Amino acid sequence: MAVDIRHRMVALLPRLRAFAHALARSGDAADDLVQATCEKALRAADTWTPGTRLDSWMFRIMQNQWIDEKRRQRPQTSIDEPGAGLQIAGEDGAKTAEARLTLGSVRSLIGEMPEELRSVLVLVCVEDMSYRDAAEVLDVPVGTVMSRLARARRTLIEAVDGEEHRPTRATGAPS
Amino acid sequence: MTTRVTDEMLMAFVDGELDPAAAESVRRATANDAALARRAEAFRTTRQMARDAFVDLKAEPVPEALVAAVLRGESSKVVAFSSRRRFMQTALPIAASIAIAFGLAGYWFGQRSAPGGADPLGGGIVAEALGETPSGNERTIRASNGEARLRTLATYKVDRGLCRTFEMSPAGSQGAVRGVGCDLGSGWNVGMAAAHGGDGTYAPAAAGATGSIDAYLDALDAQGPLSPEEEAVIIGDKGR
Repeated sequence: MAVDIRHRMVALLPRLRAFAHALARSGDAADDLVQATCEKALRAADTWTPGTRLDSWMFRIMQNQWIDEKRRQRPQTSIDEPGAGLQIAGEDGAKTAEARLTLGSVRSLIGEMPEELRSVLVLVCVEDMSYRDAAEVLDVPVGTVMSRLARARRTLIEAVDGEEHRPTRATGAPS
Repeated sequence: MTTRVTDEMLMAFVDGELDPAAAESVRRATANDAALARRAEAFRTTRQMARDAFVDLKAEPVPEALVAAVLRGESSKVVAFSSRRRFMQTALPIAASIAIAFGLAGYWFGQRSAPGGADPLGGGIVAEALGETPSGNERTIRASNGEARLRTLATYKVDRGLCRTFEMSPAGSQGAVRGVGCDLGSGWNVGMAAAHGGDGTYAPAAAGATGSIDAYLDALDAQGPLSPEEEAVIIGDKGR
């Protein structure tokens, strides 16, 4: 009967939204992505093996869905326009001269990262997935997960160092 | 230091992803090299930074449209568990979660200010709303201890009547109670409820609230959820 997997999906929604924000960045696009992912997952529910991780399975569907959407939309508008910040509810990057990075500036930094760095950062650091699980979701080798993750986190470390040494932080937005 | 420790190794070290031998060699390297140790610490900090950046998002209530889309979505066959077997397996957790939910709901809905405990759950008010509110809709209910928002989530056909899932949260609070109420021929009653926290997760465990709602519905051989059209025939809209 249908109840089981649906309720498990509902319980996963906050995590799916976090990953969707990592991919799509804008709130509306992220929620659209979550919905499309859930619809796809429900239609394919008989291909999910009970006893395996539902979260990994759904993250993978979302990742594929996102790639499909980008492919479809690229001719019209570039979703991945550089410089777009990560739109997460909460006050935005107040540019204070504090020695530490504000929440807002961390969000902007993450938002400015290339998508393949953002997604791995969120899967491992926000969703606590192992390198191996993240590799499976993203369909890349574990070594790639490690190098991308290190690049993403180096961006954050450099920003913290920049803040600590000079009021103007080195943006170093990766191309 | 003798062997060069890369950023990847340091990062995997603080993430607990290195095998014991490699971890030991990084541990030794950082013990002898203060700069390396600081860099490892910096990598450790970035995990928390990333997590903090998403805290607000994850605490935000999930838009009801998404919940409804999942609960009403068309699904392929869908995981055919044996209902009875699953119920036997989950019988104990249900008992536990009902006990928890009664305590919580009692707190929110004014157990103490309802002497005699005639309706400690505020269940009567919820039950009344269940008979009237279309799924996906929200209404404000007044319990003895203040206002709460009640959302009906989905409707299921069971052998002897109907069951509906709902979520209620006291005004101005992030936490909520998720539950199921049924009308098995003698009016609506709240069958069970379980708490989920405001952090976007369902407490006490992932299988807590939603798992026991599943089991409850399974035990009643629930079919569904009904489409909005099917539901409209059955659920009155008097309350709006």
